[in-house]
Amino acid sequence: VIGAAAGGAALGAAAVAAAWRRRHASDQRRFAMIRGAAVIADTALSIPEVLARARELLVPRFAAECEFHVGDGRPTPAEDAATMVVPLRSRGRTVGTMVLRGSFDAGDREFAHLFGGRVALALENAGLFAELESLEAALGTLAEAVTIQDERGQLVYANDAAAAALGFESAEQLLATPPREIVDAYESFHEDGSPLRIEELPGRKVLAGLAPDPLLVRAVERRTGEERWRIVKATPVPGRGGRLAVNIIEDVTDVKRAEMAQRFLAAASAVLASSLDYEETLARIAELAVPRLADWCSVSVPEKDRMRSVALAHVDPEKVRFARSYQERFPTPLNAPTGTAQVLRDGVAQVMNEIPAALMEVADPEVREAIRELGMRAAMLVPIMSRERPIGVISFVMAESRRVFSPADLELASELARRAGTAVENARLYRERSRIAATLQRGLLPEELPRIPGLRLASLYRPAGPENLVGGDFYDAFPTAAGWMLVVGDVTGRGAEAAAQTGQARHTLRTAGTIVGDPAAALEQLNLALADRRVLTPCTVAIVHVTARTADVLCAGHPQPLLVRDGAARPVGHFGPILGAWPDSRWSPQPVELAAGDVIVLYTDGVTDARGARERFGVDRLVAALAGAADAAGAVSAIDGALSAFQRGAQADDTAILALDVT
Amino acid sequence: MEGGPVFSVSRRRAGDGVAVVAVGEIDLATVDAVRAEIDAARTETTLVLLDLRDVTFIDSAGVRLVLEGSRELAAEGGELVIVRGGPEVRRVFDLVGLDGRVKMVDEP
Repeated sequence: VIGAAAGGAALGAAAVAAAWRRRHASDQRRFAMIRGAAVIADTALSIPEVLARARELLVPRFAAECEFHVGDGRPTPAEDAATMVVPLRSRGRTVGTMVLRGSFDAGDREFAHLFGGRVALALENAGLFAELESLEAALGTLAEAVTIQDERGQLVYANDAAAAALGFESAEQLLATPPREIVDAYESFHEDGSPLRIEELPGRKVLAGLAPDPLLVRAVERRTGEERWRIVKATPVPGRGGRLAVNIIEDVTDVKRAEMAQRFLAAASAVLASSLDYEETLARIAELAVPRLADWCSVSVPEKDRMRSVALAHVDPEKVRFARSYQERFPTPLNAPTGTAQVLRDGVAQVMNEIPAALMEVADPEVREAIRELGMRAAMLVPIMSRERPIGVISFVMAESRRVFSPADLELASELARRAGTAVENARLYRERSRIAATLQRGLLPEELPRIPGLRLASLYRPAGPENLVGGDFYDAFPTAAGWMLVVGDVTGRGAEAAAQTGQARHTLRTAGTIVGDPAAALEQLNLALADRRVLTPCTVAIVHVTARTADVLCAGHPQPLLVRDGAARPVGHFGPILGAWPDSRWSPQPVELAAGDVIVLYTDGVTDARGARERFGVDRLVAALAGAADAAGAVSAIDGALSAFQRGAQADDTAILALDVT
Repeated sequence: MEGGPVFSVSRRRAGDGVAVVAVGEIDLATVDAVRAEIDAARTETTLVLLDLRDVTFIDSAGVRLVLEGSRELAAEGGELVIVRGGPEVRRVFDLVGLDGRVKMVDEP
């Protein structure tokens, strides 16, 4: 707008001057005055300046006196022989009046009107400049940084916020700095971490005639390592010298940090909750922290007289190898005066945004070399607290990214360490609980399998996933008056309640079996005991009662045992009702004449129900796995191998296997 | 359960009773959903049909559910009727001796 108006004024002035020259060729003085007025109109002046300069041109060369009435409400004097009243009109609008006193002829009057037109234009332009000035004043007060670039990319305007954001003391200082230098002071990245090229900045794109989207930029100041997040928007405006780009730079560091912190902590919480193996958990936390929070992250815990690293992460595996071998050669002793050992003693976090020169002086030459090799710039050490005691240290290190740690980083790291501490505490409680469960579980199984003349036994017990408590599977082998009773059973349910029922079931069978010596009677005994309970407690059992060269096989709602003879497995035993459901249930044995080399396998449904990629393991696969099993131990390991190969995901149920072979 | 097949359970009126229709595998991971539907059906009627025709697998947790549902409905003077499932489900029911103890039908 300004440029167009000024250009118009210049053209107009030339035309007028040409006309004037034709009619008053001799009057060079008037021509010079009109030219002077055109210059006024084309110069950025305030309204009083325009009036003062116009007056200088007119008095005394053209008039004895000159006064201007511009929006001041003073009455305009009447026109007479010695007084000329000239309206100041521009683009059909009267902006004021010029009053000239002196002696004038008709030509003078015509000239005065032309001159008045130039003054009016100059006044209007001055008004526009004033508007721009007030725009500048408005931009100056904005919190957002605003800069304006000309076509060559040179900054022509910057407000105070822009100067502050880019680390300059004043807008003038910023404007005086070459653009390359301003850009080079920062290392800039896209949100995804890839480096940002100068041509990708929205301002550059605008100057290239494109309409860029706002861009999120992470800028790390090379000198201080301070990291800032900015949204840069650019819009084109036509200017006097061509296209201009107006950049609005919004600092979103706090918002971005808060958002990233939330996202990071949410991810960390998920990781911490995902495993009860705390070393594995800490290792994953270290992976998560890199490279967002730091270039390096390592977790160390005290072990004997030194700090042991349980996790070390960097985006480059080569560097991880280097650092690991370094850590192995130079472990930190627990009595080291500084570093992780100190943090572990004090339980107080440390932030070092400068690696102390003292460290470089005292350190071993190899240590110095390592620090140089890793390009360590800043370090932050945060204690992991569990039950208010430091149990480990998370170290964050900045190297190649040249960043330093802000107070917000320390806050985030401390929160992470707090959560890690809670997770470690949970893991400890879990291990304790697991130990109790394991103790309880052992009570459900025989201490060791008995030695039975003419028979060999083998067993396998695979409890469900580590996060599960005691399950309901059990097996037992005990002597009766007539021979040996082998039992495998499963009480539906999990946890302490199921464990208690399982223990009871096992002991009821053992007691009844030993005293009565009849497996069917033992099952009836257990069934009545379970049916008496108010809460339904279903239980399945398979019994093999070996007497001399015969095995009686009984099933109470339980999968049939498998007999492997001549290398082929087949189910044996009649189906019988599940225990604990109906008080009048009865069971009948199926006798099997045993031959040398026979293998009998009792198992729980954890085997057949195991889930693979698409299907359950099932009886057919079990039969196939047992093909060729020559003895009890071979049968058990064949099942274990087949199950391990087949199973996908966590094991959902306990698995118990008891096998015998006839020698 | 992670990686498990799709499971669903729904409930609809069926004659004088309410049918609970399960689709997929009934095991420790899904049994509570079936139980919830049976409990909801029991508030409306004493005749509950457990439709297992589209159930491809049932484990001991499912057996326990059938035994419990059957016992609870009988205590209220009602009945749990099983609409027989596929061979896999039938095999498990044969194994535990459910036939003759719980009413089973082939069609709802």
